[in-house]
Amino acid sequence: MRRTRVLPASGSASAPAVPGVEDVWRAHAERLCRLAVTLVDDPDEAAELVQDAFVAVQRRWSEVEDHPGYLTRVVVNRAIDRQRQRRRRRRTRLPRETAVPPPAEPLLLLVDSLPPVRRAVVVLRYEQDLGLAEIADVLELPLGTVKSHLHRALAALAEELKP
Amino acid sequence: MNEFESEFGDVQTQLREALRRRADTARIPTEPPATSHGGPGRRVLAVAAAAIALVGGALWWSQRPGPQAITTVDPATEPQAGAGGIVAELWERGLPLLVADGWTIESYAWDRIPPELPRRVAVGPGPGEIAVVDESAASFGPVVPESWEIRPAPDERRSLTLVVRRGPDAMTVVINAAAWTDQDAVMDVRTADGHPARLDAGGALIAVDRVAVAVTAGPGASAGSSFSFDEIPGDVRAFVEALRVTDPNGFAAAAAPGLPLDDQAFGAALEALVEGAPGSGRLPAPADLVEWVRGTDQDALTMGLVIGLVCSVPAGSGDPAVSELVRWLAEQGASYLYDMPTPLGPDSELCRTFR
Repeated sequence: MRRTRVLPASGSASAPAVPGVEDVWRAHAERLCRLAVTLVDDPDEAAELVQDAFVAVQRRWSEVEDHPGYLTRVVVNRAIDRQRQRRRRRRTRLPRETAVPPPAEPLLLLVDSLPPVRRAVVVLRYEQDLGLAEIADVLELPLGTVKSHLHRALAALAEELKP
Repeated sequence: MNEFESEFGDVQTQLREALRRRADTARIPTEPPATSHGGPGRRVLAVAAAAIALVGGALWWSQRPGPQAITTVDPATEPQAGAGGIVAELWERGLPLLVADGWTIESYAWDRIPPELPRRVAVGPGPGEIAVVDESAASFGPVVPESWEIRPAPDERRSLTLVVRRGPDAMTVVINAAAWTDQDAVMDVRTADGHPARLDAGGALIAVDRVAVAVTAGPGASAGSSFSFDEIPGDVRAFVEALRVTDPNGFAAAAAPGLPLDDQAFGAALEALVEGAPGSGRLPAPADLVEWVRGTDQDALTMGLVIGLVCSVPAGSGDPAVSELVRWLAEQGASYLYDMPTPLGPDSELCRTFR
């Protein structure tokens, strides 16, 4: 995966053709929705999140170099934001907090209890099958940090799964 | 598989299967959301939808409880909303820190703060008073340790002051939250000994972990205003210089939605700012600081921008840099800026952006 970035507004004459929104949607919507739902554990919220991401990126569609990568990043970051917001609301018990149904599987419950960024690393690795360098690219983290997150996550999960 | 992963073979297998089962529950919409990229027909639909949303929003706005005064009060003479309203909104949205002008909170938004939340409040008797709400603010990171203070504003204008103490290099950040009264958004940065350094609002961004303070785009931003850095210690100056934003595109590149943030990394950056890069014996390069900022928490960043806009929008109204920034905030979902105390009033383009 190429490193995603926003091109300068000026662009250049030799820039490659910009893909159509619908083409990108057809090719990547399912993957992004699967990614989102593993992060937020709510199919409707995940679908909304992906659509929101498309809306946000469409505003700068012609400036983006790598649309799938950029959309992936936006989806992951928005999912992380939502997880953080949920956590804060749980902490402060705000009245508008809505109950999040617990995941059915104990292992997923453990994954959901990981810090948001660590959880994203796990999902990108084992649901999206991204390599570590690709994960580092999506999350804009150093490779070593990704490795650290992954190792700690696996160690924590292994510890919890011990009989 | 990487070497360190091989020891967790069984866990990985279970993980893949469990995550796949959850992914299989995904609901995939059949079409992308309609926008102006979707051709003429879709464009018409989008415009119609936007019109309906606008009317609905206007109705909602007229019916909503709370700060109705914003539609009728002249912000130049009656500072009724602004920081307090925004802070209350941030609070209700679960953001971790509330800092606001006490007079405003007391008079306008105080009862919107949920009573079960911790409060640390200092409400002074008049202009210049400061209020900081939320004791949890004291825990926002390594840069803001046990001691931080609330101080009266240095002048008669209502202001908001954070004192970030870190050994002898304590830094005071003063935000003038009443800048709309004189069209002069000002940010003061002071060292612990009170050495002042006034920064005209012009795109500097100073973020302290969860407390993000932004002077986003004041009157000099688009003109590439020069700050009066002379009296600021070199490390603070480097930090501010590294973060200053004079180009909306440059800002977008630095703060676009791809911001996974690592709070600890940002805390480390600030630590480096105050104390010098640990182990290096030198200050971090501006580029490194920018990298750290890119790793900061998006919520904190947005919140900082919100607060910053309170300071700078009035002075920057009509400034294209401000408009660009506001649009970017709107894209990020920062819908809570409707309390902005802009002299243009709630019908201004800036306010409409967020409705």
